[in-house]
Amino acid sequence: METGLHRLARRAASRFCATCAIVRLAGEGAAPEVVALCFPESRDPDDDRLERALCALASPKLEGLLALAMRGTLVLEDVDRTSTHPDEDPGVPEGLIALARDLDVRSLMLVPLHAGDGPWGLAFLARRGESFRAFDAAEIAATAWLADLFAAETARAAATAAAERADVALREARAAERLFRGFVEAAPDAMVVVDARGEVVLVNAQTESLFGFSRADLLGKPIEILVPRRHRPDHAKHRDGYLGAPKVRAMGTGLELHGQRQDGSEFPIEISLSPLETAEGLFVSAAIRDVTRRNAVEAALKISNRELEAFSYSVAHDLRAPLRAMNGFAQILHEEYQAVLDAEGVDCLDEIRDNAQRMGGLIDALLSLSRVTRSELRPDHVDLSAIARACGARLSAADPERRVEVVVEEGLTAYLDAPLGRNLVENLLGNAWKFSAHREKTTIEVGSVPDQEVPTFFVRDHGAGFDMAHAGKLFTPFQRLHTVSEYPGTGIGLATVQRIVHRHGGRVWAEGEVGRGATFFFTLAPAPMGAS
Amino acid sequence: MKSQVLLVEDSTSDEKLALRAFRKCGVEHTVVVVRDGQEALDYLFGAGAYASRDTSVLPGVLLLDLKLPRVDGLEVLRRIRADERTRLLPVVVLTASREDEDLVRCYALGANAYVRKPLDFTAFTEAARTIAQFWLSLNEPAPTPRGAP
Repeated sequence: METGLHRLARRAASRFCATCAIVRLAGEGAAPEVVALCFPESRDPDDDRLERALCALASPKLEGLLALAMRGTLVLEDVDRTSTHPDEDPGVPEGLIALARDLDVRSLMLVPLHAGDGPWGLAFLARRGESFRAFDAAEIAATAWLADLFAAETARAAATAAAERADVALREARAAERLFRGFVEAAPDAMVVVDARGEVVLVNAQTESLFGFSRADLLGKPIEILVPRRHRPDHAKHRDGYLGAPKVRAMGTGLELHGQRQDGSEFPIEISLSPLETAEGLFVSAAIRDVTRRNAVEAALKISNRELEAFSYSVAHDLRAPLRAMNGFAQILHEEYQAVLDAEGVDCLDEIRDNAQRMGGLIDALLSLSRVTRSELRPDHVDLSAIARACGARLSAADPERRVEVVVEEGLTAYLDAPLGRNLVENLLGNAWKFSAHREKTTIEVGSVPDQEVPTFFVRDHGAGFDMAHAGKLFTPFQRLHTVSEYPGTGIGLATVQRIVHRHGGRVWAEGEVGRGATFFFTLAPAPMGAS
Repeated sequence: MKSQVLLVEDSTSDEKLALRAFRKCGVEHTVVVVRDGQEALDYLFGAGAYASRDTSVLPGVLLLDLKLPRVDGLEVLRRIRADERTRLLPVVVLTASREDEDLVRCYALGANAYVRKPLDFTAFTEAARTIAQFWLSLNEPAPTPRGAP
């Protein structure tokens, strides 16, 4: 726009043989601004001064010029010799006359300039020095030409600017779309975007390679083209249901989903759905993952678990059988042949039996630990408070001599397998109960830690505690920090706790101090969205 | 004729312990011991080494271990229940296994009881006594099956 106005100033300077300044009057309170300035061909040395003076127009001296500009072209002749003409033209600011006189301006025309619907500013046309001549009638009439030229120029500039803005917006929109398509293409999963009618509007390269269709085969087709034939009618119904209540979720949780390739073959898939609300309506984006390999790994894992089960079974049976025989015959010796043994012999027999029974206990503990790992997880919302209270009551009933208060926070709920949850709480409470046995009167607390990213619970006792230097050993099977005579047990309880917590995607740790008690913390993965 | 206990036990140690336990409760003269699942089936159905046995005489109770050579305990149980002659024979599973799955499978196949062999010999003797008293004295077995002589 500025270059257009400079051209305009140059044409006006040449046409009127006068200095032309185009000044924007931004409005009340804002300073006037010289946007373009051009001198006639015969530039005299004083012009520099004029330029500086015009550039200094940004002064309160010219207040009122805007109002003046509204009244049409103003012609002032013999400015140097005129007084202020207060009677003829009360609207001419005093400052303007003073400025004109100061710069030796003899003839001055002020031409109002309009842009669009409103006033924009003024064109100053000034003749200076002794050799000036007055503006003649033709020149005064030609100011209309200048005003029209200005209006045309600003209109053209505005149109150009609007076009540029539109162009920028379009480029930005295209860049955003390129970015979006880039993300879609770079996604590790096959991405398919479907409109509200269930027709495919966008797919990525992974979709092509996964399903064997080309983009052209898919775009505009119902999404059911990728669904095995027998599921198509149901799929269309489910699709309508989803559109009724769209939200980000996995599709068909718990179901085995299959996709169908172009050649008709099927493969297992996992799908997550996300709704996309746009100005063009609702779209649904589906991320599709081939789970053939994962299923194979899971199947292999199942086989390996079965082998582990067979192994445990064998441990249960094969290790216990000879142990039972050893124990049994030692007992028979003890009962029926005591007469032929001396005291030391009887003591040796007792040692054999004690150790056989302890080994039996260890085998049972090992098996119960392995069951924790092998049992199938069926997570659900579980009331940990209720479990802890019931467990505390059982411990009290079994050990009525002791005065232990079990304080359970209300409303502790967690998402985990209920039998394993009971096992977890029983082991932690049993542990706390056992290791505070030497306290006359004590408290065990069960609670949660507020404001954690994942649900975090604790069981706190005020019993024997432990040295933090050994904290790492606490959860290792058969590791014990106390002798069996101090605190009985097989050393499997906390290992069981750790396995249960790990199976639920959580973490377990302990804090303690010798003689001051211990606190066991555990986290559990939060319930998945939509788990009921 | 007094009812027998048919004990299927492959371990001679366990057999000795079992016989000693039964002797303590006074039933040892009625305990018949076979070594594996196949032998147990041969005994019951009069086959193999027991071809000349009078199969109309059924034991009062079968004590069946699960892990046995040749034919395992579960298979023995399945075949006993599948045969008209032994369909109603009382079967007590006597095993070291503590697996819930074994318990469920045994009951599903028609076991009458499931006893875990205790490690302690006194407890084992007590279990043998209880089994013998209940199944050989207190319990009324089903009448001789149809078709039997």
